[in-house]
Amino acid sequence: MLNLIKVTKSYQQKVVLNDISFNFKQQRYCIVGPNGSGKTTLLMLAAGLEKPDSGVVMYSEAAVHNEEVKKNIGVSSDRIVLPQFLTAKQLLEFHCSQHQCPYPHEYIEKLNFNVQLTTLVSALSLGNLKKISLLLAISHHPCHLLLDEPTTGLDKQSRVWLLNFLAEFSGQLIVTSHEECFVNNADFHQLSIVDLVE
Amino acid sequence: MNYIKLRWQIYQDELKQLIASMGQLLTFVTLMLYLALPIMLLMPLVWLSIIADIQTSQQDRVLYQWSYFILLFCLIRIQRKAILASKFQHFLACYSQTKIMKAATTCLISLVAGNLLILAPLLLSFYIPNWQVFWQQIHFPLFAILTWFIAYVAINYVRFPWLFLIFTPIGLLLLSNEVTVTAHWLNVIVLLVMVLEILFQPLAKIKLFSLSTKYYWQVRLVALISYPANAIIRIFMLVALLSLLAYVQQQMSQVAEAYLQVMFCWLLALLLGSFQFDNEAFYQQYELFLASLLSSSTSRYITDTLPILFLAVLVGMVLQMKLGFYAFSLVLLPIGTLLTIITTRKYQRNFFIVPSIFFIALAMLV
Repeated sequence: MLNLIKVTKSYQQKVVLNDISFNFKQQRYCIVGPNGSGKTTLLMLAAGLEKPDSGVVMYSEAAVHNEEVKKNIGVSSDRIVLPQFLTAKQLLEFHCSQHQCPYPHEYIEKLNFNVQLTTLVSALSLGNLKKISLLLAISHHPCHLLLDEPTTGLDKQSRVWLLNFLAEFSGQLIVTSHEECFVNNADFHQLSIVDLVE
Repeated sequence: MNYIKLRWQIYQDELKQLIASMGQLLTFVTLMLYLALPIMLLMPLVWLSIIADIQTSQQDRVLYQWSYFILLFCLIRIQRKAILASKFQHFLACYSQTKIMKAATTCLISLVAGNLLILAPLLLSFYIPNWQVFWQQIHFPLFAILTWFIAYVAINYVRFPWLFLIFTPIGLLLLSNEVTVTAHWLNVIVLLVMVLEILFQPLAKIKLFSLSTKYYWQVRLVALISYPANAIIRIFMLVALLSLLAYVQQQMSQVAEAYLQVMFCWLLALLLGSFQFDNEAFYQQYELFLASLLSSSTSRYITDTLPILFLAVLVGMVLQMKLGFYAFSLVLLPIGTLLTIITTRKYQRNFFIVPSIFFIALAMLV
């Protein structure tokens, strides 16, 4: 399980997260809070994509930067800029090669993404960017899934499939969202970033 | 304010921003080539006299013409967004303007952007005194037309014209011993290749998505093919410097002194090492994506550095085998390049200080 120990992160001298300690013991969390309060930053730190100024991020006694831990994390966020010069298919192939996992035909089918495979990432619409980002997060069947506003921009069919997929997901799931389906969902432990920061 | 004035103002504003963003590079070029700069700026105009001369050999013609073409292409290409006012395309589309007005405005701004490189061949073509001479010298008006086509392609086509700018001159140079083509026919053929590329874009049929991207180096290769401008400018500068040295050595019938060889290696090492700027920009742009990869940043750094060092070894071999440099250039250039790569990563805009001290000290020892 994810454990944040005395984590501090600031950008250009503005402290976003200050000395936060929290052990994510539950299986499902929905992090809520106003815009700019540090939800996405928290996810980036939890995924090991950004380094904290101080403190450590652990997964069951192992540091997040450990390769074995990274293999078991799936992350999706608009903050992660994907290579604009690759097609969606090339990007997925690279991802699968890195994680040595099979190509995610089934997920592509379910998200109705087949037509977009030969499109350059730079030419993808907002919704399709979200889909490729989600595909990258789930393709390697991680144990920890960190999703930043996962339903934003998705069409109705994809949204329904994603919510079903997440409902059946057996690993630890942490999402940031303002959507009712997560905020008013008893399966999710609600965690206010404001309370966490204070 | 009318449409043309607005577009002109956008162009000026974008150009100011472009120059500001290139300030670091411009400072470096001014520092390095202080005295040679006016000569380098006038060099394309000197090339024109060689291109205009019907007696110029096929090999020289190809070299000078394509140097001119690539320079013109780069000059226009870096201003493309400013010329087209791309950033404001939706805003401008809100106002109804005739297609002719839009095209005429783009054409006028392009002329300003291309400046002497577009206008000089055209003016020289009009300078031909009569029709008889005009037909005798038809290769030059054809060359002038080609420069217009290049400006057009640089502005209107996103894809890099590989066939015309890279493969055609290489083919012509390789075949120059077997097939002799007159200046007239050469430019007719080149014009046809250009039109062919504009109309059909045959190389666009080779789909980038057919390239495998299983490994990190393959991803970087696709990135390079997709955005080759920076690499091409550097390689062009590299070839121009080597050609300039070969020309000077040939004219003076002697090989450069040892200390001059060190200084030349210094210049080349800075140029080659500056490829690291592109790598750094890549790391910065895709910081979080790269952080999500399982491979370590060190292995990615080495993967990105090796091709630059390989190029440095290759240039070192050219210096030693073709330009008569001492064997030390084979070692000195890769070391200098590696030093520049490391200092680029560490000191960014002050990247040249440490390698410069190293090379100056070495030149004094030699």
